[in-house]
Amino acid sequence: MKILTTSNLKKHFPIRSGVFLQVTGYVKALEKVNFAISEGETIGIVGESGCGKSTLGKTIVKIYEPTDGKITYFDPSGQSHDITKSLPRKVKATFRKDLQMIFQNPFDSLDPRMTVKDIIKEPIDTHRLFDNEKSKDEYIRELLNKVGLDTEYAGRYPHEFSGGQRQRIAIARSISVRPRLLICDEPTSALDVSVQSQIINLLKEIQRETNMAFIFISHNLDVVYHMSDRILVMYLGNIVESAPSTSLFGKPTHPYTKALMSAIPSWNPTKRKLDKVKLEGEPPSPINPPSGCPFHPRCQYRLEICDKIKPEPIEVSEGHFSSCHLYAKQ
Amino acid sequence: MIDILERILTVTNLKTYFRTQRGTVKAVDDISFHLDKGEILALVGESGSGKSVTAQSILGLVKVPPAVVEGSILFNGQELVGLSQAEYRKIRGMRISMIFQEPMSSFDPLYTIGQQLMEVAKAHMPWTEEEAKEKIIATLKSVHIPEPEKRYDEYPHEMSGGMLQRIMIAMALITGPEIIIADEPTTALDVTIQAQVLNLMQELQSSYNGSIIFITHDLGVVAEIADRVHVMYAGKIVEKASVEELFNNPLHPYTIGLLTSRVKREYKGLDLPYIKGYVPSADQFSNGCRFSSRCPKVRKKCHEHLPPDLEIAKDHIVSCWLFEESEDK
Amino acid sequence: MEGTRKRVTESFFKHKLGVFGLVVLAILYLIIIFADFIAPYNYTTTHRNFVYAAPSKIRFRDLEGKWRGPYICEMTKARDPITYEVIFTEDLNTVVPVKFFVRGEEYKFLGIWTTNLHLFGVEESPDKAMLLLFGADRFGRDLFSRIVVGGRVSMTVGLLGTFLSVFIGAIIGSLSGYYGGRIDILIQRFIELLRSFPRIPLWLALAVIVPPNWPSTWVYFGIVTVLSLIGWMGVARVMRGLVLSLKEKEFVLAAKVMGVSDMKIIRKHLIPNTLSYLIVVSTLSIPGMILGESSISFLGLGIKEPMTSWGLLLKQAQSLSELESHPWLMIPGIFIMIAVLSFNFVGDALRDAVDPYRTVEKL
Ligand SMILES: Nc1ncnc2c1ncn2[C@@H]1O[C@H](COP(=O)(O)OP(=O)(O)OP(=O)(O)O)[C@@H](O)[C@H]1O
Ligand SMILES: Nc1ncnc2c1ncn2[C@@H]1O[C@H](COP(=O)(O)OP(=O)(O)OP(=O)(O)O)[C@@H](O)[C@H]1O
Ligand SMILES: [Mg+2]
Ligand SMILES: [Mg+2]
Repeated sequence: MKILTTSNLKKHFPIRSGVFLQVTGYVKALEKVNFAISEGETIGIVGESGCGKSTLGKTIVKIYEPTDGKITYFDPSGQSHDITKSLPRKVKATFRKDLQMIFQNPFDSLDPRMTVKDIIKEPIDTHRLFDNEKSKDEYIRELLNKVGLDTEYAGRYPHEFSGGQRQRIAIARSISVRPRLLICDEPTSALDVSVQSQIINLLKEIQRETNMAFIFISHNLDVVYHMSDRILVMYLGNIVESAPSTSLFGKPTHPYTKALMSAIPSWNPTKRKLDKVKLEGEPPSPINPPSGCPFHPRCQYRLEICDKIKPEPIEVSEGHFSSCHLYAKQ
Repeated sequence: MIDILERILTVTNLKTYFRTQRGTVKAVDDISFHLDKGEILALVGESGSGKSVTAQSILGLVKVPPAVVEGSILFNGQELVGLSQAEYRKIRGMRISMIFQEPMSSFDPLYTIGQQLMEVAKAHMPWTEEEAKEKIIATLKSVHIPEPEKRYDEYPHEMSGGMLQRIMIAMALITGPEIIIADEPTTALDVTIQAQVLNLMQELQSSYNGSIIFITHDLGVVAEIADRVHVMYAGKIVEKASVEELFNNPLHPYTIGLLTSRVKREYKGLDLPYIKGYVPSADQFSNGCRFSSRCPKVRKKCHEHLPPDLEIAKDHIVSCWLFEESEDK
Repeated sequence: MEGTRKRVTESFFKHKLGVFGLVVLAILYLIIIFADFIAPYNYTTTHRNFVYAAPSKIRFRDLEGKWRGPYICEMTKARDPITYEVIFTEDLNTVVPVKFFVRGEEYKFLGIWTTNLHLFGVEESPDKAMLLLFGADRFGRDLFSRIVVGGRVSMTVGLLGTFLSVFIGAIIGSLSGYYGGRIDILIQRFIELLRSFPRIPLWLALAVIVPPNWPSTWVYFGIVTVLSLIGWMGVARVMRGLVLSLKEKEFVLAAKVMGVSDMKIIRKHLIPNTLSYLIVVSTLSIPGMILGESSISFLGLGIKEPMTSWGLLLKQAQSLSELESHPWLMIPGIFIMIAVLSFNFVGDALRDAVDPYRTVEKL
């Protein structure tokens, strides 16, 4: 069952300067983003820093209002609602319960002045899941156990915990209202390698038990591959390739995706490969994106057409879309 | 032809302790290692293992007192422990330079790139203004900055993170240092930019024949760049080996744990292997092996006594009780 | 919360100057609360015989060297026949013992009970002998009593003014930060404009508006209003900055995503996270207020006779010749200094405890 779809989603942030802070330009963080997510599914989003991954996450949970395009939300009964501009009053409560988000920085995402218990209790109280304190306490203890934290920790403050433990608290908080869609914005990139795997396993386990859908944002391709059914590769606010994860890794088509994959370290000192990375220069600024294909200035397969016309997604194999002129049908 | 290795830095029994309200933090606790001319030595370990403090101790950036730095750091035969700040200034930034993790916060936003590089050059080198500028532009070119003459007059915010990191490398190179200490130089960068920076460092290392201490927590990066690797855990070096040896024949359970924590493609659909538990906080170390609380192969002895450094193969040293019997026999 | 509170208190009490300041302030406030009791004389009563009298000499042994406990002598006033200067001569044969808990002028203790008991003083009529710890002014009023009573205005103007300005500043600042946009820009430009004026002329300009024929309590509140009308701007700026950075914090975003309402976010996340900063800012802005009141009163636009304040008392010490012949008139200035320094010490200690990384600028 579908939970959320976007169509041509666009988000431009105005840049203000001068004495009266006039708008002098726009950061074009998202351009025409389309995807759909259903229950139990995981969509992975990869791309370099600043390509708009977090903006996408924050726009679909309605922290930001989209500049253009459409977001459709399907409530648990399957009815669709247009939530692009604002949340209609009658779906607000279900939407706020159905979609939760885990943030990148575990040192920033917990209120330093609240105890672990109060932190986890906040969404439970907001959505009035329980009417008596006792069953609420019981439930909080259950949640702490589930994310692998000692129930004794309930009375402590965030600063007493390590990054990995804090991320567990954040997970407990976001799954407490049993959302149908959980947006994970780089949940492991601030964590040590040995802790990263623990968190990934925990998220996977939660998904198996609850059939929750995930949008999993990361710049680590291996992690995204492990988590996702489908992967969207973003570049400068655009989805340049979208495919089932095995298909994407088996046969990457977009030159940018290929470059990203070649830059993953080999983990083998006798087969070093980073000197073979074929990607020059830096990503251009999203304030003045290149004309045509956003990747053309760095692309080694550049065609004449590339700086003129922006490529539309082309289905290169089943369910595998690539926005690249190389695959245009003659 | 026999390579005669020139030992440029020898660290022996280095201890760096901080006194805090909660007690003594043994950030670096009795570590020894050396660095030869022209090699890249990687220090790997998780957050809080003492990598940065090791670098700061070598560069005399740890404030003594309140902190305590003991042991010996021999740089080309000169003892650095106990050197005055005035004497350190002749070494730091000139003969040993440093590259930091956060390129954005390492530059002053109020000055142009050129002004900041010029300041470093003038502080250490007897060059005239024109000479210095020439050298700076040449160095910027060598780190593949496009249009270095134009960039010279630009401000840090006009540059991307990857470009700033390369400029920082240029800054570290200008005085022609014998050692460069790079503290997580690629951690804040994207994979593609990371590849560029790693390539650049390797290229420079072979052209300048300098030595590099490369600090990172990412074993993937280590495999790409290092000649030798030292694995740090909770203020100790637990394993030392050449990079090939470490990846082919890891011995310490922590090293093995780190290597298996890698998210491999084959694991899709399965649970990822991981090291259970958390790094002990620096003021709560036990008397025994510091990894004992998380070690899958822990024994009684491990909780009670610090393991000795055991040389298992040539230049492969591990600090773990598991390998003790083989020695005894 | 308790964890932080404990850390903050511990860290505060490690700061020696801060603790010292706190003790001094506690003493000052005790003094002004019990001012009528502590003052040996009514601060408005004039004494013809003691105009510009110097601080009394307190003696312990009489002429024969016999121990008499603390005492003063009766005084007679005469004029120097040549210079016409007033000279006080002590009658060394008289003994006027200084005692604790003496009966004197009547007053209302804490404004409720009528009594004539004073903490200390002499039982002799003030025509003959007065216990003048800090001397007397040109109407023969006891300067010590006047300082003690004047502290009431000086020490409360700062508190009240700060309270008001922090209240206004916090509300305007947090709205400006939380909602942003046009209102924010307007408020910020307005504040910048006002802050670019030098402070003292601005105070004076506003103080002139307070009508001179107002009763003195009204004038007092007028001054408080003037001070806080200027003081709120600094608070608003700090508050806006804090809210601006807090509202982008991920824990606030998380609360938003959970569906927590705006008002609740402000109440449960924003306010608790700025409270400690506000306390620090307040403490650090009290000295400015005290100085403000003193400056206004010193220049004759603030508190008026018969009410008194340290600034007004200092007004008498305006001319050099006055100072030369009656240096004790400077004593109120020392009290201002002590109070200002103490508040600064406490504020600094609080700031170091609450905000070790110095994110709050001094106002
Ligand atoms: N609130 C905002 N106001 C203005 N610009 C913004 C805002 N948030 C993000 N941007 C800009 O939008 C672009 C995309 O940012 P975003 O945070 O979505 O990137 P990201 O892909 O999540 O990067 P990272 O991997 O660094 O987290 C960036 O250029 C960023 O500077
Ligand atoms: N100035 C200091 N005072 C007290 N403790 C310190 C100080 N500097 C570092 N430490 C402590 O020393 C330990 C080692 O710190 P260090 O910065 O070397 O870790 P690291 O290995 O570089 O970690 P990371 O990967 O997070 O940079 C940590 O527990 C840290 O808290
Ligand atoms: Mg992001
Ligand atoms: Mg470090």
